Amino acid sequence: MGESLIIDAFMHMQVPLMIVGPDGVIHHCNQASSRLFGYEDNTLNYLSVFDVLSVKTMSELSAYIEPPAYSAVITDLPGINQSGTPIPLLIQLTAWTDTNGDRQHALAMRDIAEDVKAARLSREELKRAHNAINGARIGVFEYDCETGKLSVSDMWRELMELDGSETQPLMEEWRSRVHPHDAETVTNLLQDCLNGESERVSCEYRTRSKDGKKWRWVSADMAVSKRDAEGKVVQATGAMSDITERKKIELAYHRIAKQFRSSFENATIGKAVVGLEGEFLQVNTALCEILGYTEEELFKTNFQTLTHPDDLVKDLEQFKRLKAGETSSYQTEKRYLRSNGAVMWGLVSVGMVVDSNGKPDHFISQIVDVTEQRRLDELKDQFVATVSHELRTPLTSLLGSLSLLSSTDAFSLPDSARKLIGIAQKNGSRLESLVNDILDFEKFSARQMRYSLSDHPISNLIEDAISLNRPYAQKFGVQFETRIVDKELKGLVDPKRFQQVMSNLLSNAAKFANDGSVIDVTLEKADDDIKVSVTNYGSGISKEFRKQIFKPFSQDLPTNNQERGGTGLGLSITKKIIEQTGGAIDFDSEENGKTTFWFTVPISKVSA
Amino acid sequence: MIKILHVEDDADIREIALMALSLSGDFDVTQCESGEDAIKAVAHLQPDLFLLDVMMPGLTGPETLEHFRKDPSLSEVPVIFMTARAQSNDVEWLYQLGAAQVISKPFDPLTLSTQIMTTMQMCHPRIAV
Repeated sequence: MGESLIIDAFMHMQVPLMIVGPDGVIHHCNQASSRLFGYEDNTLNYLSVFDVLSVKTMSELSAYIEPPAYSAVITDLPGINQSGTPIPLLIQLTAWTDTNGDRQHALAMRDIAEDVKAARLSREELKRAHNAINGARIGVFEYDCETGKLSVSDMWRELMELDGSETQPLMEEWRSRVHPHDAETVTNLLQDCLNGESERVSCEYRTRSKDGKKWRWVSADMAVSKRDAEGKVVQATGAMSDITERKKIELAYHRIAKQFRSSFENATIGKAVVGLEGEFLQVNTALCEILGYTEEELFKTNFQTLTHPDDLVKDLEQFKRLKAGETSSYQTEKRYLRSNGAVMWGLVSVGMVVDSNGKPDHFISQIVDVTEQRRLDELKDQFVATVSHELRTPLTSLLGSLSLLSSTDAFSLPDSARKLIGIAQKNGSRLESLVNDILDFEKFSARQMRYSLSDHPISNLIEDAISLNRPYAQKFGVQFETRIVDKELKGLVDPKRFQQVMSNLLSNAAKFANDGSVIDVTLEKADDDIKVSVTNYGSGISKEFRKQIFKPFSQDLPTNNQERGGTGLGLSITKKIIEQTGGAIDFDSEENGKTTFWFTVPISKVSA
Repeated sequence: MIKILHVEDDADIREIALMALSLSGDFDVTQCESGEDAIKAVAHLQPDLFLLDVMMPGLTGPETLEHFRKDPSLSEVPVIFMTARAQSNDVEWLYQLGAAQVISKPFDPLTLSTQIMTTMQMCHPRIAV
């Protein structure tokens, strides 16, 4: 009864078990054992142990047990399953001699395939980690608190340029290489970790190269890796890497940022970083000064509140267009209200900064206080207006009197008097055009000239200009001839200013033409423009004068007693009119030959 | 005869204008040296045309015109401004004030009569020259 219970237990135990006789025959084998080797239950009995284990003789198996021990744990003896595949096994082998004097062996076995696999994986994992650490050029170190010994990885040595030939202990070597400015901070930090005050510490510091010529930046992390039973730190492990390149970029960035901050802060003009709703995010000292507010006060308000109500609508329109991405910047002159209620005229440039998605992020504003400039401009305008009036009034009397005097209907005068009146009239007119030129020039220079641009057939305007200037041309004995390719061509011009340009070119051409010659006036289409040319035949423009011909107050030296006069402003004004209304002007000249002045005007959009 | 009220602070210019306008014999010219004087004179004058200088001490030409226009009987009288500030925006402004014409100074006295007659015809087409 008791024996059969033991046999039952043997048969049903989940641990594979078998008993092998001296001849290698399996006398007893349980179900778990049959399954381990892939056999049906009970079919393994009486097979040979050599069929399921990689041994050829019983003495080979017995040899695993080293007397006086009677058992052994075997890990290098794989089993073989029914299909011939090896099975990694852990075998507990026990031997004894039975009552008949036969040597018996009992084997308790465990399939360790999963364990082997896990061990292999963990070896591979470790190798990968090792590769990664080396690949990332991370040096690893371990500090033993009891011995004060530092153990390091090969990479740590490589980073510190140590080949093993160093004479002092590693810890001393490391200490001697840390930058004196960083030494205290780093040592204190590491000490915090070793004292157990911090579980983990990080620091960046400089170390000297082995040759002592360079400083390299390193980043180091250290963490407690082992404590004793009382919680005292006995070991700390850490990693170190070279961050010199990163640090260089970082330092350069900090320097640039500092310079930028300084240029923002110390700029002599007002600067502000403005948020999307107009709030001030950053302001400089100059802005605080010109607006009369402190930085804190400006942070609590926005540009809308500080803008003069009369200028706000226009300003907001431009701001809105900028925000909508219709323009990338705008410039405007507007009034601000200072803290004391006074008006400050500001010349404002606003640019938008977008984020990485292209969406508006903030605005950069530059504000120059032009209050004084505006005041001076107004004074100058007033002065110009007054001078204009004061000069023209006596001229009116002068020229009016002369005109009435010269009128043959009203008076009869001797020829000599008539001649003198002519001289007075001519010079009076010259004075008038001088006044006009100077006033015009002033307006153009201040870009205050307003143009009434509209579409006009250019041929008509040219004909009008020629009629007006014909009497002048006759004085020089020259004639105008026109060559108009397209009579219907319309240009976008200010007719009054166009006449001014034509009169200037026609009168210049007449003045400098050979007596009795012809002045050609042509009109043609040139791409998207209309090109008008005036050509005369005369002495031409001297090489020296060509470069400065369009400069104000420039006049060529007179030749052949030609009548000159004028301010030397005519061509300069002409060029300004042409350029400010969207055209271009230039000339070609041969000395003692042909001179052509040409200019373009934009072709009318509605032109047929 | 066309009755003209000429307001001009500069005596020489008044003289020249008077001589120029006398040549044709078409005009009956009354002259005042200031806007203030003109306002006093205008009531019993009932002119056909105002010839006004723009920049004058005291009331300017446009201010004088404003006074004239308050009288309904003078509200339709054509006005010609004479100005030494003939910049385009100034001229534009004078036309906006209701000028029939703007003559810039210096002006040619020999064509003054013609310019005035043209303006009169434009404003009152029935007036025969």
